Amino acid sequence: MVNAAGEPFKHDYIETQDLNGNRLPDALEPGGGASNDDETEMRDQNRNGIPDYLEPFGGSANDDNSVEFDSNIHRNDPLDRTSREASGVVGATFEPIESAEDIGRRTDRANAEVSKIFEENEANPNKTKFGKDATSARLQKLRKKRLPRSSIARELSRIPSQKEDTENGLALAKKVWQGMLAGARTNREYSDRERNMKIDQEIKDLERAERDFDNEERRRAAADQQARQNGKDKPESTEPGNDGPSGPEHGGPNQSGPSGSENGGPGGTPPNTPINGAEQVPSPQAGAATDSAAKDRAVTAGPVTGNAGLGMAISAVNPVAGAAFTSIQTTLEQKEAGASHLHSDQEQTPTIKSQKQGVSPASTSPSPQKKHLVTAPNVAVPPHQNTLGRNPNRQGALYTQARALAPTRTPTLSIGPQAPAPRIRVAGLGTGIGSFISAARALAPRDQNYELGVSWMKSQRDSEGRGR
Amino acid sequence: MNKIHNLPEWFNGHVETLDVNRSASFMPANTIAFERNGKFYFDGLLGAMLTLRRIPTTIEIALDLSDMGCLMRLNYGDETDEEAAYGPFEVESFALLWNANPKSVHGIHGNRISLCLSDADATCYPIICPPGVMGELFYYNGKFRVNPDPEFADELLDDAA
Repeated sequence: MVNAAGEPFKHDYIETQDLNGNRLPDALEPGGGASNDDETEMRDQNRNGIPDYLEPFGGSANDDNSVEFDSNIHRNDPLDRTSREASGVVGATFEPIESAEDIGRRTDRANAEVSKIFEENEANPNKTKFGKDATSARLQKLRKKRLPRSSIARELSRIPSQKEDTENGLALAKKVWQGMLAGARTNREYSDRERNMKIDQEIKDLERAERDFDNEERRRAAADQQARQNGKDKPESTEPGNDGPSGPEHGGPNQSGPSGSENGGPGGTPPNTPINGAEQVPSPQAGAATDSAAKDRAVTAGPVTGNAGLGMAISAVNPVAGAAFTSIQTTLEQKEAGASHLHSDQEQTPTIKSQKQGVSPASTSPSPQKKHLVTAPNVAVPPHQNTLGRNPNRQGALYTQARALAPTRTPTLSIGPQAPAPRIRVAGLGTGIGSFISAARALAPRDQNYELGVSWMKSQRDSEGRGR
Repeated sequence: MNKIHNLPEWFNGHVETLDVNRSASFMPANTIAFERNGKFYFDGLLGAMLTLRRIPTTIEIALDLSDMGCLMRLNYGDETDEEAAYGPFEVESFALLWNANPKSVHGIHGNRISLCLSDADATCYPIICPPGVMGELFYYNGKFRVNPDPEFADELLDDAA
């Protein structure tokens, strides 16, 4: 190769070989620079009778340039440990496994966190992934979208009146056209009805979700308040069963809340008729929502069994019965005696606003029968609780009987055994090995090899890669 | 050292045995051999295994001269195929061991180590010698030789002397 000036291009560290001096490197010449005369073909540098071109490596193997490969010319160094892959490969298979206690502790911690997540998720089964604002916005939109309910009268008025009996010519055509229009209208009404049904269902769900949001906020507000109050009160007052007859003394739901919650402990109240869930409001107000929910489930599953038959006035201890129950009981007896059930119409879900202002809907009613209900926090049943047969809005002998029946259990989720079966682990072979080897062999005590492996790993760690 | 001029069966054997992706017994970590004060040692994968007391019963190292591919097989237990581990071996280390023919390497007696070679279609193998000199490794007349670049050959020989 030549550069622009015509001089042969020189590499930095090696000269281009050009044996015949024709300014063309030998590598680019045919035959590698050998001249084309017979002498080249017959060249035999090591004089063993075999021409060079027949010998391996062109006869250069035996010249003085080649050196026997020994440790002087070999790299002759151990591998650089700082960038070693081999030890990593072997170490990975021989890493001493951590003790079962460490793994157990970590998994226990993770299990606790996971169960906490489950509790939060499942405390409110109607909880959607959308927040309160999104729910209310969508509710507004849906309500606008929903067509007005049509009444039968309105639909009837749309039927065209028959003015003529004879149908001929244009009249017949008109009748046919009107019939088609009517058919189209009915189809439209049908589709509208279906659409309205769907929208209604969604509205219902969203309203329930909205109510749950409100309930949660109310619960949390009451819990904060109770925490504040508990800071002032003595701890004795929180024992269940202490404030039995104090129910009628309380004024509004705010005050009855904490004391009602204090009575909410299991077994702290005298046995009552298993009253409806309306009086379960003390329980949401009693401390953390999860605790009460757990208590609910725990206690309802407990002493409820064994109650059957109608007319049993005394059956289970409703854990969330409180001071309020006594008052409610009296009112219900009054109702059975034939009192009116006007109050049920006025029972609404009190929003947070009304709660904070200390106003309960029933307390403002003028009816004398409702005086008893002033003491009771009359909040409608939180919809997510199991209230089959316990809807307070239903009155009558039949419903009283129904309430006497035992409530159904809520289904328990299957989350696996409490203590999973012990796994057999063998170093480097994973956990599946347990099914292939006998238990005795698998659980054999660690032997000398294991100790050596541990000490080797330690030395690796401590030597910081210095190697030999 | 047992020197065998034939490639063993496992070298060209079942693909899965030597396939890195499919075989569990092929450990893709290099092994080398070096010399210190007249004694030879292993390092790399085999060195780590020996440090962990995973000492093979026998070691077979096979070099195919046509493409200069070198693999080693470590036999554990009763030397069946199930109890063998494979791994790559450095060509220069193979050449070193072949030329030096030591009595023992890393405490393993030479009888347990077999070096297998195939004479057919020998080629050169470009290597880098310690000072950074490029050279060509080739097998000739029963020994491995290296042809360093001519310019540095003298320097190298002076250092070696």
